[in-house]
Amino acid sequence: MATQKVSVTLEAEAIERARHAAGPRGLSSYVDAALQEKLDRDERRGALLALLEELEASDQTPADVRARAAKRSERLRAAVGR
Amino acid sequence: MTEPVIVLDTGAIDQVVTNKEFRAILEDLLRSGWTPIIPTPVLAEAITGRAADGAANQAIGRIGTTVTDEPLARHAGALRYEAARAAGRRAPSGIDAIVAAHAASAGAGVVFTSDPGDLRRLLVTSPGVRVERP
Repeated sequence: MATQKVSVTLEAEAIERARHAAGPRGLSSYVDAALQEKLDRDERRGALLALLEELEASDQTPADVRARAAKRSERLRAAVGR
Repeated sequence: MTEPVIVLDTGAIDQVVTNKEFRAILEDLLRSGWTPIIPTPVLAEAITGRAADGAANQAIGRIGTTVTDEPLARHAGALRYEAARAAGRRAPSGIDAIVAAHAASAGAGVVFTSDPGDLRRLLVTSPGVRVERP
């Protein structure tokens, strides 16, 4: 796979922790893996949102169902603390 | 800190397409930055190989599945053993344990499943993870 050298600004403490965690693999390899994981998560989230938008466009959710869902998701976020 | 996860277990995957209330919940959580996961082994229970899999296949086609690597599988084994030991009864299924391990390793999130009992036992030491029906 082609690689490219880039200059980015990161928190100093995070860099030190990453260096320690990466060990002999090296910082570049560690940061590359973390970036791949983040991209994968963001892409999955975007792909599911796109599917939900398509479904909603062809089959709309009634307002009362949306209101019930909003209460449930709010409870979940509160329970998980996010 | 990674984002909370939304782990889809058996009985929840097809509901992504067919259950409007569940769709709206997912949309809210996704817009809050939560990440969806379908652990690959869940397909062994969620898929029949028949035409009835259409809704589940639609969701899987978009989200894909997340591989269970060796550390996660070992974590699943430990959760399964502890759940059986604590309750003094049969161990939950290996697939339920894998689902629980994916959620527990994220530290925060929700497992959506049609059968919450065993997953709640498996996740009793993960207070940041909820187990819900779709």
